[in-house]
Amino acid sequence: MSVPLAPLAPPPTRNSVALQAVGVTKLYGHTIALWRVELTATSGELVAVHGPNASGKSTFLRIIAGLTAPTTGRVVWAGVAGAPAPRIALVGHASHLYGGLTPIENVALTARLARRDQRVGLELLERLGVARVSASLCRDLSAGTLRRVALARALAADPDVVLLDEPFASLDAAASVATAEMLEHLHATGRLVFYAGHDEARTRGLATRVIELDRGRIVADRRPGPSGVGAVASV
Amino acid sequence: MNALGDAVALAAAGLRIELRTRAAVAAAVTLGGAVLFLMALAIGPDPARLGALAPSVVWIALAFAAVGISDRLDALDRVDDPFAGLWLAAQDRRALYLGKLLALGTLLVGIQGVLWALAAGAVCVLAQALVGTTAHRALLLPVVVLPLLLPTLLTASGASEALLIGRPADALGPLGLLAVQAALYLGLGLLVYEAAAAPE
Repeated sequence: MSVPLAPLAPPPTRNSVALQAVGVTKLYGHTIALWRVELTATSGELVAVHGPNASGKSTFLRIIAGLTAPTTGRVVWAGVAGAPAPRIALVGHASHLYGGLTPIENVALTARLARRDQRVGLELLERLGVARVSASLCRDLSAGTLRRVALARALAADPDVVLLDEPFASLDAAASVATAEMLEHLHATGRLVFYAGHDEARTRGLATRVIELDRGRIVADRRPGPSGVGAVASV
Repeated sequence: MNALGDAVALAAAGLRIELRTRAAVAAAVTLGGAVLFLMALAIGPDPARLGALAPSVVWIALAFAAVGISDRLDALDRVDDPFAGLWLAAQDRRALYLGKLLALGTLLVGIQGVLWALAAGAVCVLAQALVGTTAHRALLLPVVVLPLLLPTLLTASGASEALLIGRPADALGPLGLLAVQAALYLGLGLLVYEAAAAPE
């Protein structure tokens, strides 16, 4: 069960950032994963990246995170002058968790490296409805539970930019709502959030902006209107 | 100072996992034991010959054991890619290098001595980053590590030999050299680890 959302204690000043992707192309051999992608996005946007399998969604998120280098083009971050580089968190297809550690140990380790209060770990696990498994080893958890622990781990770093690859995969209805609420919360607290997925209907109404990728190209970029968690709950 | 604290937290996490699985120590004992056994067979039963070659044989076995431990610890970062999460979260990425070195060094020091553990650990963690996630990393890791460890291996072997023949004063030179090598490898690792380990 997820607990009702009270405001997370946000830092006094969030690092306001702007992302600019300039002609980003990624080739794997002769396969085009991304082709001349141009995009700007700023803090406070909740961007859904939709597209069929192999449309380049995951590659795009990894390039934004700096974990994959583009073949050509670049990703530029702009922010307030003198502000530190944006803190970026990614939950990809992998959980990015040590299977031999418990959820609370994984989350606390990330918080420690990000120089954040390690007690935030339990709070995040509670918010995402997985506090009851906080003492189990991650390798023993179900796929859906692991997705939520992975999200908690990513958020433990208090990121300015959150990148989620199919965050609703393997989740039941209640877990989907808890995750959608967390996305709303991240958006409301001024972060730049990207999430990738195939299933537009499931998250309709959540995103403030929808980008559609097809064979590595952006084929649509629209702003659907006010966001809301209810759309997820009703699916 | 913060980086050192982060490194201790990372090393504690790695050692906690090892305590729960004992996979790295099992790999080291198996690999080191096999090398020791095969080399003893190759040398033959002559006690004088065995005695003369014992320090070298032991250190070669320890080098393979170090590679085995290093590989098992590094494998923890490759299952489900926790390293990517830590890479993005870390405020000071030197902590990632130091954390791996502390975990590996702690396991090595128990069986191989402080200076060797520091030198071998520094080389192994850097080699892991250089080898990256290539498909043939299990083969490449010893190919990269063992030549780099050769000077350290010869120095450690020299120190052992001096101690074994009852001339501890003669071991001071090699031990000093070992300390210099450990410091050099550590400095090199801290300098180049972030560039070597950067994803793709």
